[in-house]
Amino acid sequence: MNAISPTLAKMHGRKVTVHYGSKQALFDVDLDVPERMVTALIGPSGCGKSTFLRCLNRMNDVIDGCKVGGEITLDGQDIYDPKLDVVMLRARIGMVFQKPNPFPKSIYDNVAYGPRIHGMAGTKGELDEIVRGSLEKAGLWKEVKERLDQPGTGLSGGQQQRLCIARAIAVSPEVILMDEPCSALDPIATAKIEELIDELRENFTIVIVTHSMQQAARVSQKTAFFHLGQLIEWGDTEQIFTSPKDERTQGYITGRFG
Amino acid sequence: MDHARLKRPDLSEARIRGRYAAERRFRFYGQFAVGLAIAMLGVLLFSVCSKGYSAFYRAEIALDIMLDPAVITPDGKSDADTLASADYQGLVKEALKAQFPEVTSRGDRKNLFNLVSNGAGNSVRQAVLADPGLIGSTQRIWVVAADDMDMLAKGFIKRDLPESERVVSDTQIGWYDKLDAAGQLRTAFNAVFLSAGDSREPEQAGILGALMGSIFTMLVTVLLALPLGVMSAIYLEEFAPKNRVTEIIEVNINNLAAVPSIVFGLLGLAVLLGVFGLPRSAPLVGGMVLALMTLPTIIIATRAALKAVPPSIREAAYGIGASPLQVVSHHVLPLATPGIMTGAIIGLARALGESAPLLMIGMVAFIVDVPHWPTDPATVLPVQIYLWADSPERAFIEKTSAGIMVLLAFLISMNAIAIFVRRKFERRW
Amino acid sequence: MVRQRGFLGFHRFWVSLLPGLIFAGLALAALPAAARDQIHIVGSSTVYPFSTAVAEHFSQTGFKAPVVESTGTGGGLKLFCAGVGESFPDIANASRPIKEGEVADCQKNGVSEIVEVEIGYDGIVLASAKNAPPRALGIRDLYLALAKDVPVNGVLLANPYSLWSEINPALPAQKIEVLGPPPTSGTRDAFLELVMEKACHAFPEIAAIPDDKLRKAKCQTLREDGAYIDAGENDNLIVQKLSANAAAFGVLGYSFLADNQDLLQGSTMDGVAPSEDNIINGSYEVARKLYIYVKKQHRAIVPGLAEFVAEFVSERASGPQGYLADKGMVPMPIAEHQQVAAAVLAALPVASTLGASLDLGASSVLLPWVAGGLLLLLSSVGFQLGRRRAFASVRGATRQLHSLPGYHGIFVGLGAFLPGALALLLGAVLASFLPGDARTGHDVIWAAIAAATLGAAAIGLAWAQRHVSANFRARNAVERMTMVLLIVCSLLSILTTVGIVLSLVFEAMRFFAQVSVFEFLFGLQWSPQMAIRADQVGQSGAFGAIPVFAGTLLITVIAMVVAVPVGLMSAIYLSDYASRRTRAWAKPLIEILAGIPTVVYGFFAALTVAPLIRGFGASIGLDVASESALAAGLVMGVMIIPFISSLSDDVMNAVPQAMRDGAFALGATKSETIRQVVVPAALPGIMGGVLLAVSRAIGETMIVVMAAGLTANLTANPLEAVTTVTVQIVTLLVGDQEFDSPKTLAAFALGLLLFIITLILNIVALRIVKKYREQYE
Repeated sequence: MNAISPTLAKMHGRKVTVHYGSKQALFDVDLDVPERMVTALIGPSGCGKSTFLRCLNRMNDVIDGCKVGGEITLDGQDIYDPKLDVVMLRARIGMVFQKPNPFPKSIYDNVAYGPRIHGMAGTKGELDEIVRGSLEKAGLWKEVKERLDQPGTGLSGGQQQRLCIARAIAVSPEVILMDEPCSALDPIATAKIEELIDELRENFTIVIVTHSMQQAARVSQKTAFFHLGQLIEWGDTEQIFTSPKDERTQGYITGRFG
Repeated sequence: MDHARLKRPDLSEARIRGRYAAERRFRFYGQFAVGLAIAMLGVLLFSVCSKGYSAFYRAEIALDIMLDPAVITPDGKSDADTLASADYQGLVKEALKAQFPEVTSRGDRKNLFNLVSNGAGNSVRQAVLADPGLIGSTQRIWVVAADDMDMLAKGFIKRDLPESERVVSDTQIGWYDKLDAAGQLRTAFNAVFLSAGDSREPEQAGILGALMGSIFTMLVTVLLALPLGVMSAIYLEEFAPKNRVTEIIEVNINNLAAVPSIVFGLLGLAVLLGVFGLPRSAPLVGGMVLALMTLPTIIIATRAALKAVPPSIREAAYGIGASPLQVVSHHVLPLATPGIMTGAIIGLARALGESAPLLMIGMVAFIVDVPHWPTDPATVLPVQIYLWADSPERAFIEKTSAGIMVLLAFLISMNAIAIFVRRKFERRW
Repeated sequence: MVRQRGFLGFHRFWVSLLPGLIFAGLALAALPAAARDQIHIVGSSTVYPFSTAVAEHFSQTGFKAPVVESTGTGGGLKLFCAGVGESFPDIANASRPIKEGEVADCQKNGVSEIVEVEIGYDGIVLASAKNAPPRALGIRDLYLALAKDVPVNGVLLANPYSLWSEINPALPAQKIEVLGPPPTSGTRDAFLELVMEKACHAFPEIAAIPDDKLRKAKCQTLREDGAYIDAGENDNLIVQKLSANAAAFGVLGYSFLADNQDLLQGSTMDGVAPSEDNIINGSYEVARKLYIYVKKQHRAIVPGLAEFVAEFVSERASGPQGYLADKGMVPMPIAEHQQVAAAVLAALPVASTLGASLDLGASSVLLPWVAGGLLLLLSSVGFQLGRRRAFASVRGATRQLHSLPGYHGIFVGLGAFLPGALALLLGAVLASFLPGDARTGHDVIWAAIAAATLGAAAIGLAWAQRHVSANFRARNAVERMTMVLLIVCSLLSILTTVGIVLSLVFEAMRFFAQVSVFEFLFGLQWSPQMAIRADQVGQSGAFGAIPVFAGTLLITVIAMVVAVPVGLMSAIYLSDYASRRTRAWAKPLIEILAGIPTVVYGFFAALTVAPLIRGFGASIGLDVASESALAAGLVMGVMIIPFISSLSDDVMNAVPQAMRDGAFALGATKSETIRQVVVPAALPGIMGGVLLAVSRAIGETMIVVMAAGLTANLTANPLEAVTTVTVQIVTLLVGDQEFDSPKTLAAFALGLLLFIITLILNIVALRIVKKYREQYE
């Protein structure tokens, strides 16, 4: 395990456990998320990678009967500290979901929603600016600038997902969590999103859960392999894919199971 | 390209505090709404129960009644018929006269006799029929007090009002107090209320006639609506081709479910009574009208229950070579039964509380006899409540509320059964 | 082992039809009106308490207690005159003498021998709350207070008075507010005749009107600006309302005053107090006679008819000290009573040969049952035969059969049952339409029907039995029949709709033949007070439905103002905020509100909420009508809360969790998520639900019948009394209507309009909800 120095890491997970009711879904996961890099979480279905991802912005709070143990920090601050405000936390850690989930509002309103609730824009002009900037960053501006007032649900799947990314980055989060963002998309749309992720790396710390090992290899700098609720191995993507230390990692990567 | 970077979320304390205040307010609105709804229920139930509980007991007066053989068995025969039809009310009056010998004038005597119910003789009759050996002796028998005395005993008639403003006179109160002081007055459980039909005398009025009417009406409704509704739902959900006709049927059923109940009453009046000449006031007709009203509810509930059975079960059955009807009757229908039952019970509970359509077909009537058959004239619980609310005697107010309590108890037990069925047999796929 | 569960399951399916079959038998038994052994009484609501009291005493003499319906005098006489026979009433209660037109109608239908029985008097009193200062009124004061047009300085003007003191300086400076019976009531007729008419002839301006009809009209038309409030037939509710409102007067029958002496006081009328003595000796002039009309021809039809009438006129009942006096009737003086009793006993002698009619129908009542029973028996025999034959055809080797033996059995059983049932049903329908005295021919007809039924069943059985063979596809045949049955069932709902539409349209057409559609739809005045009877002239009969619908709308809007926010917020709180335990008890509690019968809400609205609102209004100086739209609307709103809350719960649950996650992930708080994402997303669904609730509020009947008014006010003020469509339907159909008058028919026209409006609302609402659902599926 080549733990990187804590100062470089944006987020730390230490002995993270998750129980759904009486069923344990994560076992003592230690994982650091380095700043301004893409960390990919891979592993077979039900291995706990999505669960871990949802721990990072406390989305598990929404689920009844879910208990999270251990410690997760953001910039050294415990995000499960009862005093910490989850609303503030989520403003700093954005999330993009597996299935595109635009609100049934206009494209503009979808992106402007976050800035509005967080009071980021004093004037209409500023808000326009944020929306435009976010859509540009998400690579969607050119396609939608003529129809900002049309419903977000009318876009194609790939566009919807980029809209969701634009929505997430509109609040300028420090970290963006992506939960299999391309699983519902065709290869062309997927390629666009991957390209986008690569660009976003400049400004954001990104954690992405993916089923596709090729995708992990393409977009990430760090990769972590989960299996049966445990973190088996993590490190530089290249190293994981070329010379994995654990034979389970090896097996998964070479397609012997999963 | 980096201009959005300049904007950061406003995470200042003040703003967050404001947002949380809004959050709390919103939450409070929610709590308030729930509280308001439940408080309304509470107020309603309280106002009914506080008015109605007193109908379950009644005032009784003990009188030393001389069971005069000359009155009970005038011609010396003591067969059951003679014993049953004797003038026991007369004996009660004699006893009252004996108790208050000072009352002589005709008007005063009438007032005196008004202390006891018109049905007071029944208690004496029962005593004599139970033991004919008592004839000839003097017995202390508890007889039912008149409704005015009952109201006085329960404190609903204020003594401090001037005499002219009360229904009971000072002399009557005097007699009442005398009886009370002599221990000849008590309040006891009012069994009549649960065992008799309607009556013009509040102290003799009972809910059983209406209850039986409701039961017969519901019986007819169940027998009609359940099989027809279930079969109709099976066809629509499992077999009907998707075409214009079935679409019209579907839209039509959904609409019927929301048609005002009084319209079904108009239908019953025009068609069942008008065209087919069915009898007025009969639970049979009431049940038919309510069945038509409940049918859409049952169809919708049944379809939902059928839909909830996963297709895999059907596919499995088809796979072994079952015919479509076999698939439905062997697999789908049994699995959907709990859902159908809950839907049906809820629909029937609604029918049970319904009165508007029944007003249209003559089920508002004064009926003393407890019905024994669905074609006997009868009324139903909600209509009985409506009728009692209409009666001039004060004592009927408590009867009305008590009637409501019985109806609610009936309804709550039906709903409890529905909940029980749902909990017990519910299956998650 | 082959005739296993599969077959059993199917068998069960058919067995489940049995209740339906039993029911069909039941209906058949009822179709030929079964012999009646109970007297049936209809008519006036004023006489109702007295008839019921006599009925009850009568039942203690060994006869079955008569059934008494309160249909109003006119409605009662209509039913009474409709014909002779078991399905027509025997006695009509009336609070006025029968009219010539009604007698003619009776004659036309063969009701030729009617015995009129005077039973006593009813006084009409002007009552007010006990705590109000006692007031001495005169009929002149009442006329000036309540007539629509009154003479002022020699000319007839629209009634200008709003305070009692303006009419008579001796009276207090209080607002004129009189609660009284609606136009459908006999009490109202009497009030118009005994007070209004009498007083108005004293004015020279009125006497100068040459035209009799117009004069009568001027005298009898009550004002419609809210000073006179139609308060429903339910006099007990008037009592409650009066005791809660010291300023108001109520027009009541004397019995209600007598029974509520501790709550009410009667005003003296021209110096005479309303008392029993004064009514009998004629000094209290606002009194009328009460009658019952007996159909003499029915002595042979119902046992005890003469005995019942004898009981009615007996001294212990209607005599001066009789029990009817206890019930508030004012008895006739003793001499007059004896005279009446003697005359009635002579006209209707108590026959010694009763009960003869009872036996006559006994066998004919049984016959339909016998026929039905034999049919079921034959069907099950067919089942056994079919099964055996199937077994026999392959010598027990059931594998060689195409269908299981049970299917052959069902096939043969149905082969017998279906033709038999058809014959039975047709026969029953035909029998009920046979003209003439069905009674004598009854046995013969039913014997014929029973024979036809069995014959048809036997032929069907033989035919089906011949089909049974190894290769016969019995299962397919049975399944086809089942399918036909299922299709027929699902067509029943269409039939219901058609029935509703036809019955409404048919009667409404007759209404529109007398009143133009345009007037009905766009008329601004609704006062169906007239065209009631030929002699009851006057009163501007107006059938403009707009005020009625406006009233309905007002109450609906109030209900929605209560129900939508409360229902929506409860749904939100319970689904998103409340802990599981809170939800577990709070949700069912709220749902109980939906299960409470509307008659209970009506009682609650009229007796608890309305006085409360009135009292509150009075304490802050607001003038609230006793039957304010507000009270009915509020209570209706409470009733609708669970409806809205469960519907919005449904639609909000249909909003995908991903949508909520999206908002949460952006750092939105719960309330921000709900308000800005979930509710907007669910809005179409919520709107659909609200529309359904509106349609339910519009069609709600009992709450408004008991708590809303009867006067059609065109107002938007929730503190005033308004009327609704359903109230009008009930009043028009349960009141003292004349046959085939526009009034009765107006009820059907209103019903049709109600049906159409709710239909449109429902279609729109269901469509919206469906579209919404599809969006997320």
